[in-house]
Amino acid sequence: MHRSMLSILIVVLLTPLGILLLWLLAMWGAHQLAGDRIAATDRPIVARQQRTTAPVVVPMSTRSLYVAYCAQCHGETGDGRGTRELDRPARSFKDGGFSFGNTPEALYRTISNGIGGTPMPGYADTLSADERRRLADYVRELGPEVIEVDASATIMRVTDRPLVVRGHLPSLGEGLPEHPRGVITASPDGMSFQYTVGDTVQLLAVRQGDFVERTDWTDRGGSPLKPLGRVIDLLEPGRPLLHMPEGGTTRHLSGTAVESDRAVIRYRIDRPGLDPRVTVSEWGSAATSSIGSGYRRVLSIESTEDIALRLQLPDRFPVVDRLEDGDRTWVIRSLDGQRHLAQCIPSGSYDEDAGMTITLLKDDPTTIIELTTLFLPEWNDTMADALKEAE
Amino acid sequence: MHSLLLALALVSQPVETDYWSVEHFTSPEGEILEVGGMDFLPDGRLVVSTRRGQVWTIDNALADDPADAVFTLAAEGLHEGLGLKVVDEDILLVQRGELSRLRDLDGDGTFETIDTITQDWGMSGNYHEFAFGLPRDADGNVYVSLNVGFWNPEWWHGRSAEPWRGWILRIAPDGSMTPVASGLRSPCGLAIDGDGRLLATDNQGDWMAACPIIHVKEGGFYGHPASLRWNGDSASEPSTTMPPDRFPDPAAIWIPYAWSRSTGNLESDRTGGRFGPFEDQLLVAELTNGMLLRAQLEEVDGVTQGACFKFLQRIGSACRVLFAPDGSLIVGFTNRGWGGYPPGHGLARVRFLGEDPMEIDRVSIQPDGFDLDFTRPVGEDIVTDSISITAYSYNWWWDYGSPEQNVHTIPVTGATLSDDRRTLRVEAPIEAGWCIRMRLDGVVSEDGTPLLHDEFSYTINRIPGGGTPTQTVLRRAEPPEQRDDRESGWLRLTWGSVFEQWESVGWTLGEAELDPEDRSRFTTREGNSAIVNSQSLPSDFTSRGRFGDMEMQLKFMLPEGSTTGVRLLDGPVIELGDNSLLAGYPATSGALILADGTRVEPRTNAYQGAGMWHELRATIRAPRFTPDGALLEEARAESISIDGTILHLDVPLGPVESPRAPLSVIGDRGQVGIADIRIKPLDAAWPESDDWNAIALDLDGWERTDGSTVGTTPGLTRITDGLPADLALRASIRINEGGRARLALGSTSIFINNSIAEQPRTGSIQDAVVRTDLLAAENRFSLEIRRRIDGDAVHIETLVNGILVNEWNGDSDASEDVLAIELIEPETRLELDGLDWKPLP
Repeated sequence: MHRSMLSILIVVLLTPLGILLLWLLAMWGAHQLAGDRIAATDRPIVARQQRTTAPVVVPMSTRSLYVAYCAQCHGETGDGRGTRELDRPARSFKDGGFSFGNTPEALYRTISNGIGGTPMPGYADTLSADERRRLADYVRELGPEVIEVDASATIMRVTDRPLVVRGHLPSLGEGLPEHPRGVITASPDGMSFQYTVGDTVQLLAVRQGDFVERTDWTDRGGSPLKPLGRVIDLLEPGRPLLHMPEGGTTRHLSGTAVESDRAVIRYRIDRPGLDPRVTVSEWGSAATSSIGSGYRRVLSIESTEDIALRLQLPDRFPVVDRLEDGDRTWVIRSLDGQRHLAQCIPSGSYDEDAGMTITLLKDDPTTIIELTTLFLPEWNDTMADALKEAE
Repeated sequence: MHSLLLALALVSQPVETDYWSVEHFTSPEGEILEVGGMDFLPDGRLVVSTRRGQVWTIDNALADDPADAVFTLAAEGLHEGLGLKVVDEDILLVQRGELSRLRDLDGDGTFETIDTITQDWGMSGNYHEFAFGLPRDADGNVYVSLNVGFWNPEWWHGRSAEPWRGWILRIAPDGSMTPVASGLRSPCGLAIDGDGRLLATDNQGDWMAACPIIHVKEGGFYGHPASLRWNGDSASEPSTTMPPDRFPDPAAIWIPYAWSRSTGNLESDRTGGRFGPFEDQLLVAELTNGMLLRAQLEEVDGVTQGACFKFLQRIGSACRVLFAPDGSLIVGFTNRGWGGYPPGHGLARVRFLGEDPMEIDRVSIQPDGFDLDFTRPVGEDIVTDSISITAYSYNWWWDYGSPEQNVHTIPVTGATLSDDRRTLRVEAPIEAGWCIRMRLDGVVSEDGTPLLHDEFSYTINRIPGGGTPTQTVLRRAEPPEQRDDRESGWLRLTWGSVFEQWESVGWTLGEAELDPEDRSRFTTREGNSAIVNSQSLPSDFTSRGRFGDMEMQLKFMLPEGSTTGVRLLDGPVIELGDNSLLAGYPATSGALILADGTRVEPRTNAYQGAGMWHELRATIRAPRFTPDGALLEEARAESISIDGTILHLDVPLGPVESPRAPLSVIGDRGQVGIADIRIKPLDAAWPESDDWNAIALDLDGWERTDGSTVGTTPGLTRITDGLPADLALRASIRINEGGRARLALGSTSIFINNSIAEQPRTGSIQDAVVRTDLLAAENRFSLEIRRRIDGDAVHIETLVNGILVNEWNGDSDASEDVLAIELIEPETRLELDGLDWKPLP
């Protein structure tokens, strides 16, 4: 019975009338969405709100998806000339070269997570995985012919499994050192986290996009790695996250592990002359919200003694605002007056200089701290309201 | 004819693969396993770590058919893995920056948990700071060895920029680290042998005369000074050129350079005979020549020393060896981006086929010679004449490796077989403080089987009962000249434009490899590593320039059975012959065929085998004649060597007629691959003579420093005028890397450029362009220009280091008497040491 009804539906849909109906539906959907977005130019894009309008009875063609979600910024032909006014022009797909790589995986991740600090939102909540995959293929075809890289040669690619690479890290910019001992962890959502692990253990940068090219063993060997993701947050030079309040903190690599969906880096925090061992397991992932995207660090801290640690946020940019929101605190920093970043930590008394005290008890062995950093295209009351609603 | 064939059959030379099989594993599709560490897991899986930072586990590695082996990627993203040890279910791995424990906690076959045991050594980030390992002693300690770094521009001076580079470290099970010994350079192999000795190999280079096998002692120092800065008493960096006060402790074995240039690790045969007759001896991996060596140690008056032998040649870039539980040997290949004998990656398994070869089993030193044990009873008696012993020492100096020094033969005064015909006492007046190489000709077993290898090398640190010797194998030597001018005088005749300075037909440039179907020929494919007479009816490969007194070097490679040669001075020939097919086959690389056809055999055989690159060097003196043509001095070969082994010293070359002639590689005999032909004319010094007129080098804007006039400002500077039409002009010049200049002689430009590839090279005249990189930048050379003007027609020749390299014909201009120099590139630095002219008749 069910099967025959399905057959009838398919037959109907396959008639010229059915196809017309399908097309009309798709175009209606696209128009609805496009209309929404154009009308919304005076306020932040709230991707989540589109969830109510997005479901369409039948799958939209990829072209329709593109017209609906991408064309207003990137242009109907992908030339970057959309109808929407932007501070920074959108990417022209026709020129090739994408922010975070042009592999289908990379584009899929960019479409899913967005690009922090730009108007490019993440569509992970809006579009199905299949739709995002089709869009990735579609925008890829808008560009010039893609030359496939021989993946077996040197490139480590993250697919559904997190990865860890050790190696010599290149300098992150002028005046910044190379690090002969380094670790980069990568989560399947396309975020990678670059640590120095020699004299200390410290996060240096967060990247988005493809993972790493193993240039270190090419030629005669011993060269730095070539991380492929784009730096979305540079933390070097900067202070480490966790300190012993008494000072003299040392940090030593204990190891790395791939645990189900996370790539974990573990290190000890010590102070000379102090017995207790504090072990931190840290992993990261992408963070998306309705108002901006970024990344999340999770620290799982254990101690063999009762001890107080101090947590100090990366302070490369000045604090312009703070937001107490139940069990969490947002610290807002201005990147350039226009763009901002929001750091979310557990609620508590956070002081920019003294940091926040975290008490570890040996009987309560594991303390978990989540740190979320979101990049916001601007900072105003509307954004603040949206931030409070963010999950 | 029949009896000759019979004779050949009787002495038919056994080959290594008659006794050991070599089976190469097929790596997973698209994967390159450059093996750095190997061990077996308790469940029988083979674990392999690679230079590319992967760990593979291999099921069924010991299956009868290597195709049954199943490779699984167990870890990746590691910072190299050049040493590995299985402890219980875990893998200990030395990465470049840490000693790690890899664990497979969920039993899924991937080792996803990587614990850091220690990072307690320094890393500056230099590319060459490898960390090797990883033997484990009875107490659970493991050992790591650390490479020194090499920096440009003086890449040949190894330096220890961070603590413990050039050291061997012991790491206890609790992760604590103790430095053990210093003086290492590139110590790629570590092992603990059956007697519990910690052994290390090193790679020849600065302060490392050849590749040693070292019995490592606590506090030992083995020759490379850079590591001494971490000794506690001095924090300052040792000199890179002056030897330190501390003299090196002796190496147990110095492997001849001709046998090993890049030694890998070593393993004791503890298979109880399952791998053949060499129980407790060491199998040693060798990368460049692609072979396995065998080494055997003995203690003499408390000092370790011993013998080494060739074992299995042409196997691939062997970097790691490991005995499997079943007594077979697993070989891991790596060429780490350097040259090495192919294959340069992957794995092979060597199995003993069950029959003992006729071999020298072991050598033990006696006060008056050596006892040689054979694996099988000797047939015919051995006479002293069939035994030759060559002794040599090495220089301990900063230069890259040491040629064998003080080479001499030692007379053999007795040769006595034991009653069971298994031990030969060789009597000879040996002394401590020398390496010797002994060769036995024509030794056969009772059934007539010849020795599989008729040669060994022994390092004599001590003679039993001989007390402390007065000399050592390694000897302090005068620091050699700095390398800046090392290439002065040389002409690199096949660099850049390969064929330009040669007359040749039927020669191709490409990558050459032995044809796997027919090893008597090469297959060539696109590339630039070999010049091969691969086409039909090839001519000789003959230089355009004519040479007299010279130093010459070239690299050559032969297919099986090929014989050809290098012709000098239009007469004598250095034979290049592959002798890998037949025993007693007369072709020997390095035989000298004199101008009158007389054949002079080399002192020893330094030839490695078909498909391998060899370096031939020769110093040749041309004949001297009186002005009326009477012979004053005969032509002679001062020295001829292959791969550093001297084959001839001071041999008259017979009736050579011409004082100058082209050099040629014979093309119409056997196939040959040649590369990097260089000649240093020795007669092209700056002859003082009255007919040259010095030009005053008082140039506007140029700086005068002791003897040199140095220009650094781009632009044209007038030097002189009033020069005659027909003249020769000579200049002694040094120009920097990235520098370019021209001499403007009248209306003609002669270019000076030894580094910029896109521009005409030194010796180019106007549009007659020299594209060969004849000269190394920063090295002094002489440039001579000869000009004749006949009416409107100008003819110019250029000579570099005395050798004609280019000529040009053009039209004359009005102002041909002026000479100027222009520095063209902004960064040019040009030194003029002298500038002379003379009229041409």
